[in-house]
Amino acid sequence: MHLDSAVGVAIACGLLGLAILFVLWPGQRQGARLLAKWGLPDATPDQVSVAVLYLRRRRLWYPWLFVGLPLVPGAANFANANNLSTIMPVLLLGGLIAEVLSQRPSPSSRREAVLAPRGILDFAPLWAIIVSALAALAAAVHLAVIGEWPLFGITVATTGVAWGVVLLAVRRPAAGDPDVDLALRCRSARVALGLAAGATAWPGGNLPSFLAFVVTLAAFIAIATPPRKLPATAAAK
Amino acid sequence: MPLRVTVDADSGVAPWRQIHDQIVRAIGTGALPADARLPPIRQLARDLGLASGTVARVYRELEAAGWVTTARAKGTVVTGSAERPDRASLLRDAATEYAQRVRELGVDPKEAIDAARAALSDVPQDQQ
Repeated sequence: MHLDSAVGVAIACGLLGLAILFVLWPGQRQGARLLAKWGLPDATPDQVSVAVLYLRRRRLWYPWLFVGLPLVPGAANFANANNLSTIMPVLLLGGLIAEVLSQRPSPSSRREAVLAPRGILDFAPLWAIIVSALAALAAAVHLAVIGEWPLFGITVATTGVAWGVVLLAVRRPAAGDPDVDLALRCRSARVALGLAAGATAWPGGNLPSFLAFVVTLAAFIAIATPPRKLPATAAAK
Repeated sequence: MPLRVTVDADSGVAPWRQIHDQIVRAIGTGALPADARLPPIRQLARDLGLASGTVARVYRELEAAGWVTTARAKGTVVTGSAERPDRASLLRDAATEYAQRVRELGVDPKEAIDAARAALSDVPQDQQ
C-alpha cells in the first residue's frame, strides 16, 4: 500500500469511527433503558449515571475496533473466506477492554465493598455456563476433526476472551449501589457467555450444519437475554 | 440490602481499624449472623483499593478476638455467639482503650467521663 493511500484509508476510517461513536454514544436515556432491561425499571439518577459510564466504557472502543480489526493484515481476507462477521470480535474485545479498565479502584477517598464473597454463579446461571461451554467445546472438536485449524484458533481465542470478560466482571470492584452493581455484572457475564456460544455459530451448506447454527443462535439469545428476575446473590441479599 | 463496609482515607483512622470496627459492629448487631461468610482477603482488598496485608490484619485481629474463624474449605466465617467474646469483656476492652487514650491526652478523668456521656447521648440508638 502506498503511503498516500494508507493515510487516506486511515483518515476515512477515523472519520467513520467518529461518526459511529457519535451515533452510539449513550446518554441518560440509554442508561435508564439498559437498567430497565436488566431488572431496574425505576432507576435513580445515580444508578443511571453508573449505567451510562458502563455503556460508554464499551462503546468508546466499538467504532475503533470495528474500523481497525479489518485493517489487521490478512484479517479481512480470512473473514471473507470463512463468512466471519466483525461484530462478535468487536463486542467481545470492547467488553474485555471495558472490564480491564473497570478493575481500577474508585479514585474517591471513600470506598465501599460488599461483605460477602462473590463468584460467577452469583451473576450467571449454571445452565448458561454449561451451554456456553458445550457450544464452544463442540465447535472446537468439530473444527479440529475436519482440520480447520485457523477457525479452531478463532473459536479458542473467542472463548478465551469471553471467559476473560466473565471473570473480570466478577473480579472488578463494585460500581454504584448493590442493585445497579448486580444488574451490570449480570449483564457483562451473560452477554459474554452468550457471545461465546454465538461466536461458534456458522451457517453451513448442509442440514446438520444449519441445525447446529440454529441451535447455537438460540443458545446465544437464551443466555444473553435478561432474565425476568435478577438472581438474589450473596452480594444483594 | 447487602452489608457494605466503607473505608474513608481522609478520616484519620487507619483503614484496617475502620474495617475491623464495622465488622465487629455488624456481628454485634446481628447484621452479620453466625456462619456468614466474609469475602476472601484479596477480593475485599481489591474492592477497597487496599493492600492484601491490610485486610489480612483485620481478619487476624477478628480471629484472635473470637469473632470469626478461618477454615481452608469454608473461608472466613462469623462464629456462633457461644464462641464470641461476651459483652462485658468487650465493654471492658473498649473502656480500657478509651482510658489509655485519655491518659495519652492528659485529660482530667471527670472531663473524660463527661465526654463519654456526651458521646453516648450523641450516638443514635441503632448504632449502640
